[in-house]
Amino acid sequence: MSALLQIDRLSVIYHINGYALPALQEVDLHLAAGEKLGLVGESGAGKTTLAGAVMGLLPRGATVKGKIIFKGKILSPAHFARLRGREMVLIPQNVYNSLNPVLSIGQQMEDLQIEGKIPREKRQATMLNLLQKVRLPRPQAVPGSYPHQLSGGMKQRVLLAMGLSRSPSLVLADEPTKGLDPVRRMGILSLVRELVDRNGQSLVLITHDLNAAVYLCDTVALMYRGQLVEIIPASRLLTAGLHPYTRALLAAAPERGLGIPARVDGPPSPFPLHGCPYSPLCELCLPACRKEKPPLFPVGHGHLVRCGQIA
Amino acid sequence: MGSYLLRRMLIALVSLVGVTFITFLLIFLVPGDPAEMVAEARFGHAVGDREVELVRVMEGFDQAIPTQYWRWMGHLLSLDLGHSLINRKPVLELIRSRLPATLLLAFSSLLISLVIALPAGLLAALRKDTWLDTFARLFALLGVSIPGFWLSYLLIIFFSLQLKILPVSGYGGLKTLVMPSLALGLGMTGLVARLLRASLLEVWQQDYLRAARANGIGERKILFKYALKNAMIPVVTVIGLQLGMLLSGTVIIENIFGWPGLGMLLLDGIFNRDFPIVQGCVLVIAVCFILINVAVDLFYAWLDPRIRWSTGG
Repeated sequence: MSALLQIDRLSVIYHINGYALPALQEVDLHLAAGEKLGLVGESGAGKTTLAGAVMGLLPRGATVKGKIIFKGKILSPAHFARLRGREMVLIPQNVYNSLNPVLSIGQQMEDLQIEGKIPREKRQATMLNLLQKVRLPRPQAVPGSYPHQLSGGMKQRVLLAMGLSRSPSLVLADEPTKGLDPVRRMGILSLVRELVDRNGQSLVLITHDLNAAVYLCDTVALMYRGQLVEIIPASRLLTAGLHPYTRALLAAAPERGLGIPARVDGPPSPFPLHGCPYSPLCELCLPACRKEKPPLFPVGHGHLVRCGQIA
Repeated sequence: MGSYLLRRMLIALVSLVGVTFITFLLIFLVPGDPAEMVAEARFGHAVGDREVELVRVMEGFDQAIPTQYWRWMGHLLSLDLGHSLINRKPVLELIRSRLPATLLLAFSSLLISLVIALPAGLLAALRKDTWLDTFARLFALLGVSIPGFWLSYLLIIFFSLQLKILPVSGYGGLKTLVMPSLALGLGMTGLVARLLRASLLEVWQQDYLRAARANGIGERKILFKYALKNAMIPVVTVIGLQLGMLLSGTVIIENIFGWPGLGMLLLDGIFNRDFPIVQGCVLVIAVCFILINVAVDLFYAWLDPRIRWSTGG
């Protein structure tokens, strides 16, 4: 499979009150056309920052280093405006505030069909078709309604329809089920999988939920404090996750008894500038781990892990 | 939508009735005997008790206040606001001859302040923390802080006495309109510019703008369609309130610039203890205030669908 998206040593630094906060540190990632990648990690791991960097939507003042190569081209700020919505799209994480409250759904969806002069009936038909695709109940009533008249699940489906309206080759979904009822989550996830598979689109799913990533994705990348700590085929994650952080996450899942690792309490200490990002909390940590950042060791089957103690 | 409209209209109607009642009571709230005031106006200063009692019975001041109010309302509904005590002219006619001047002044102030404030607030928000933003904020602060009457004299000194390009006072033509409109509108200009800046900066942080960008909506459309309509919601409220303030502001500004409007009529009425005039002017100003508020409410509903469709509250 050829690479649709390649990320090369991508670093992002936020500057807050005079402090430089490294949100991403030298991330390398590779996404093939049609591949589905799960990006898992706790809050602050840099998942949303990674998506923001790929979309060119980082907050003003963020420093970006490294390369993002999309369809063979190195992206520069000039590219993003042309690519967004057409080639790549971000399904936002805050369902409740991601639709404009003062514009009707129809107005917001029509703004996405700007190429050329399309007759009104055709636009309406396209819109209805999209709304049907995301299985909204009574799709013909949706364009005339305003966001506050829709439920959270309906809003998420509308956002999906909007994101997919121009068939982008890359879909970034930032916690598409955040804030939804557990019952609704599965429906949205299977819908995302179905739509993306049907069009052969690539997907980056950002989530806290290991099970969602396993269910939806081919590969899962685990992030911790701005670094990738493990990249693993989804089918192997639950049984063969190796990194101490991955194992802590697996052990903390409710169905495995909410195991809370001994050293995960309290706020994390300041970012270790050298050594392994997980070293302050790691049970296997040796003095060497604090000195030098371990590389990603390949352990077979496309499985990579950033830990010298395990690989 | 219908119920929202209906509710607003009902509230306006109740306010209107309240306003008529308070306006009517004005005669009894000012010190002095209304019958004596009328008698003095009719028969000259040295009126005797006989004349006062005559007027009291003729004008019905001896009756109970509700009865008087009822009769006064009857006149009002047939558009009879009484006659001036001084020159005996019908109050309605006097008001009708003065109202256009005041409306002209109020709307040109509104126009000037919006033409300055909206671009200023917009630019200040877009160029946040640049010299342009600092300048706009300073200007806005000055605008809010400087009282209109003081600004009036500054304008007169500068434009009329120094540059000699505008007449000191008077009514007629564009030249006479400039200074009173500026003096009246500057406070509103500052307030609206500041509010639009703050409101736009807040909307700028919202997820829906980020989401719209992620879907490939262009920056121009983001600003004018996606951001501005949201940012205008609080601004419209304040513009409505300020329009009412403009009307009361005309009382002072009209007198400074010799502008023959409602404000001047009202102040003359107060000085002459010509209470039918005072009642009439206060009533008209209050009615304008209520009508403006209804208009703002409607505009508000157009801007914000959450209000349009809400059924409670």
